[in-house]
Amino acid sequence: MDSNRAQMTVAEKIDMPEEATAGPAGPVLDGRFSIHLSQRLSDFESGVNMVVQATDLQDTSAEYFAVVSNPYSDFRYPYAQLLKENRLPGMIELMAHGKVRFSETDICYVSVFDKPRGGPIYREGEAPLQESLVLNLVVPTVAGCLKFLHKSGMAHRGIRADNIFFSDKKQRSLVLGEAVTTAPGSAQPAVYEPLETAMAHPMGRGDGKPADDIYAVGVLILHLLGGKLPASDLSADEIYKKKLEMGSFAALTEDLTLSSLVIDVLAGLLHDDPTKRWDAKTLLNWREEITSAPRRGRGDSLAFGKILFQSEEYSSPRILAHAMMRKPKAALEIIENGRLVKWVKSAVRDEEAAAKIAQIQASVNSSRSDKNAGTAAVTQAIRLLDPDGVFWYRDVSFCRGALGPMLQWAFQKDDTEMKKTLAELLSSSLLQTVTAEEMRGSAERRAEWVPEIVLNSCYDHMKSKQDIGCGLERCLYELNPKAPCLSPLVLGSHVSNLSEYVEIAEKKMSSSNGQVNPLDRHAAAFIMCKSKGLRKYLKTLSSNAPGTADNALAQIKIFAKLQASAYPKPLPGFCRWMEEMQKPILAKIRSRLRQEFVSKKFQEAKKTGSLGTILKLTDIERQLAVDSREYDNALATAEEAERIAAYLEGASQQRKVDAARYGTWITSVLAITSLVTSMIVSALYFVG
Amino acid sequence: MAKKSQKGADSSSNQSFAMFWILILSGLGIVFIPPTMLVLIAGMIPSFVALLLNTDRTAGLAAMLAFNLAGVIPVIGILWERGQTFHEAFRILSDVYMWLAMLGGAGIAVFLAWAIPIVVFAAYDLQAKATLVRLQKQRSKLIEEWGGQFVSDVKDLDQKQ
Repeated sequence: MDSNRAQMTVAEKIDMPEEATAGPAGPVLDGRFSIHLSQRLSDFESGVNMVVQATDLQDTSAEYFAVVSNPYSDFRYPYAQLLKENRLPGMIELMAHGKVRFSETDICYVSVFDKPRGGPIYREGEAPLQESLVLNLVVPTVAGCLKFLHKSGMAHRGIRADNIFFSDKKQRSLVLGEAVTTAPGSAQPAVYEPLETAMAHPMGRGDGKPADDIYAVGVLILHLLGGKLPASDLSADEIYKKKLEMGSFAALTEDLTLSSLVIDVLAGLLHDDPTKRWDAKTLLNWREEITSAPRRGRGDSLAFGKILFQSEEYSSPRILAHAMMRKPKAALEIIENGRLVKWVKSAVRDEEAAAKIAQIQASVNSSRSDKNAGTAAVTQAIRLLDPDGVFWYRDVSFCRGALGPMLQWAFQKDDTEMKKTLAELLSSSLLQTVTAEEMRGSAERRAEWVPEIVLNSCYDHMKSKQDIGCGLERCLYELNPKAPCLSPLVLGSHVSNLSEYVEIAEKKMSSSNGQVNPLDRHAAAFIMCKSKGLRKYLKTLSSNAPGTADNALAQIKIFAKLQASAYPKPLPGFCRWMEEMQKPILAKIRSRLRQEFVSKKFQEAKKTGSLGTILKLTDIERQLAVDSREYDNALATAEEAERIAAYLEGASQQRKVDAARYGTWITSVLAITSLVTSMIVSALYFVG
Repeated sequence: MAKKSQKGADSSSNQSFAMFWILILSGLGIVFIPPTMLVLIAGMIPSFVALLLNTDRTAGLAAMLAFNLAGVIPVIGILWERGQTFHEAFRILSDVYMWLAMLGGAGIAVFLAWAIPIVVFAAYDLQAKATLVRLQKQRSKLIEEWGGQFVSDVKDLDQKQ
């Protein structure tokens, strides 16, 4: 393994945790934690991952649970690293995480956590918790945990009623559940999300800020005290609208009878302005910190006038932005006819935003035939009306840094519409325009966004989206650098680098006798994303249809390079595949003798198991060039021969003419010779 | 065309020039050496016949003249050796062997003019057939090495041309 690593390029040396293997005790992580797939723990399950029992081989009395990650789920590596390095009070302990081999090719990413013994603090449908329990046990535990976590600038993004557990059987202490193995905030009910992220797709809520956790604690208190999910009878859209109209505090507490203490705490936690919201330290010491009743949020600030949109009057820019998301065609109309500019200028009194919307109006009016320009205009207008809200485009909305998990989700669900929208977004210049503008304006916003270089790279890859190794699949791996390869060939083997890809693909090749495709769109995108120096082969692949000799040769060369750089071991399965791939190449060699020669060389070189050696010994490229040249020569020779034969067959008359001419000449020569001879002989005889 | 007509004009003027000298020499010969001229004219009858037939085969006519003359020259030599008189001339003309010598030359000319083109043609034909066989072998070899596609590619190439 070490020698393999030494030969990898820097790009290929990505995080390669030591892989656990199945031993006598079954699949084991880190040589210590045995994973029992047959013993599921549904209490701990949330999202797409499976949770099972785990045991410690070193301490049989310890109880653990293991989260077996779905290949498509987003794993929060920096957060996991923080948890592993630090023991956070009140936080469930992450014992280990890494790959576990359940069978030869069945490899999953597993995280082992210390199992809370006392079960969840609350189950949906159960009676509400007592206020004292919530304020004296839940709040201090969560706040204490968040205080440490927020110091590192990270947010938990999984604070909800079903993710808090009693750590002991006597139910005296609590622990906050894990939020490592899923995309941040993805398991949260919409009501737990603050206004900034509430309208985002669950997978697009982003890493978030510490203030988002504080907001979630507020909703958690309401959930536990109310005995039901707050606003459970409302849809996500209705909750969002209500929060904007009334402020989160008023919207969520209107039907509840709460004590003045709780009201004070909730007012501090549910403030819609993150800068005025409490922080973890204030929450931990709220009794000492409260000197006067915290100010309650009052929803979105209202404009000085109203605007009519879809038969409804709006005076809040954010509510209007939300309505525009839902009715983009009507939104485009108010942009085009200038009503929005007028309203923003006169009623909202935001000159800068009005000027920008006027620019958008001018640009959309000059390109009326372009359908995408209309959507882009609506997106930009929404962004200007609600600068802190989610980024909306057609049927997707996400927080700035969450484009990667969104794309991963679209691939997991194979959601064609979402993929189409994301592809359109990534291949348009809109994203770049918006990011450039937002990043210029604020360093904080710059940190939220996907790095500009990645977005530019995605834009470039979308330009040639039809080509293998490019397109949306490439963007997936660019935006999610830690994502495993999602090629059907290696799906379920958690392949995260080239070495593993070649290893797993080799096993699949060997078992199928080389009858599988190791370079589908996902595999090609993954390989191109993780490697360097293979771009030239990508061009060949793109310009030659699959099944052609050039395409096959380029594929073989790619894997020969990968074998040499990432996995320098014999690859008999790949050799078998190569034999299949070489068929069109051999068919391209027209000379039977050469074909036999190359085949013979291939069979000899195949024994080495090295694709590079096979390429070198068969010297296929030179053979193809020589064959082509000789074939052309042979064609020319044959053509000349045909021409001569045709001439000879049809030139009988000409030959007769030639023979007559030549015969006459011979006769003449003989005649003159005989005359001269006769004269000389006669002269010699009669005169001499 | 102008060149051709000029060439034809040159040839006819040359012929006229030769005929002029032949007639002058013949006239002088009839005056000064009548027995020799008698034998010559008698011996050259086949050439006169060929001349009169006018077959447009100048080379054939030249060969006939040359062979005929080659046969007549020894007979004239005999006449001159025996003494150039009409008596000897008629003696010679009555000798069948003398006629054989004179007409034999013409006969050989006729035979060669007929046979040699046939022989040459046969040689040409044999050569062409040998070339065809060689080309056929070469083609078979190429097809054996390059396969059936080669045949159709050659055909396509031929059709394109």
